[in-house]
Amino acid sequence: MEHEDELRIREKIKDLDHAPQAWDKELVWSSIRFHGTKPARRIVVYYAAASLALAVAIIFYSVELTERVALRARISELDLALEQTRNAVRPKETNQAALIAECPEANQAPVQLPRVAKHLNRTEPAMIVRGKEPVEPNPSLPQTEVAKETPQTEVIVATPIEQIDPINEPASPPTSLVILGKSLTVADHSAQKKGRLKMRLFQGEDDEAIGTSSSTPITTLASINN
Amino acid sequence: MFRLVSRYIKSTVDSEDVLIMAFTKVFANISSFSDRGEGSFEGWIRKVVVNEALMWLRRRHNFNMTETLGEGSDPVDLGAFSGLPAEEISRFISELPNGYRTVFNLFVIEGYTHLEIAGMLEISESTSRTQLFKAKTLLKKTLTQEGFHYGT
Repeated sequence: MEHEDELRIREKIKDLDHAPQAWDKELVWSSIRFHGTKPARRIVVYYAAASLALAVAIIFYSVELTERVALRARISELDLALEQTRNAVRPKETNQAALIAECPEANQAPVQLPRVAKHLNRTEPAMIVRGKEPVEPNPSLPQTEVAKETPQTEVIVATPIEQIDPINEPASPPTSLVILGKSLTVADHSAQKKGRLKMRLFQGEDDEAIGTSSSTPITTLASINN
Repeated sequence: MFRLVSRYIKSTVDSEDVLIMAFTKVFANISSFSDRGEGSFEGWIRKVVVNEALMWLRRRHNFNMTETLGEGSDPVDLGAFSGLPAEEISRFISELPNGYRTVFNLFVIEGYTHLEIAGMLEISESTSRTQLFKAKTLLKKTLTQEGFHYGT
């Protein structure tokens, strides 16, 4: 039943499809003409836009090209002026160089002075013995000042502990002579450095107190250094 | 052929465009038609026009946007509808939505199967069945409303 209805509908529709369709010929032709001219207008618009863009691009390029040419000309002018300035300064420099080359003293090697070895003597006061010596009064000064300015006699007993030669330093530590006491002894300097509280003054097993020794030195600092 | 296209596409302007494109293809590929008893020349042109209309519809309509009905739906009686004049039938068909109208045209008018329709519209077979059922239901409902209006 359902299939029969569908067949009837199909037949009716197909019969209708074969019937001519009324159509407005003039309207169709006008539509065709309209559709024929519409793309042409679009194309004209596209061409106009493209031409405008091309013209703007050419103008920008020409302006930029002109600016570049002007900039290059300016740079070349500056380079030329700089070169001229260099040429003006360069002869003076060459004259100075020629004068320096002609000077005989400039060509000589520098004189090397002989190296002077400096010997530094280091002394260390071992004992200061102070005593009063009669001073002759100075008649030009008043009596009170003479009494004030009368210096005390200072005798510095010094032992050379080190003799430094900056060029050739001694391999072994220096030895010094102990010039105090009753006899001369050769003392080791390192031992003296380690224990200053104890001084070996005499040859013998028992040390003698410093206070009991004689206060008269054998020699003085001036005699050693001289 | 214009009536044929008009049953698939509502707009007259679009129908004309589709018809022009279809005949362009017909003239371009007329050498591929061979009369070997496979069908008439009119049938070949009809097939080309229908395919062109379907291509136009596929670009603008998603035929999958419909819910699928289950099996066992009651068949719709179109006896009253088939008794209408051809012009009225065509007008009712053109009032249907795109999906319903396309499947109804392909199945009832052109005589394609649901499997063929599914392949042409890139939908499932059940979707095609559902679209046809809904198209028939809507036609019957519209016809009832029209009869109601005529009756009053």
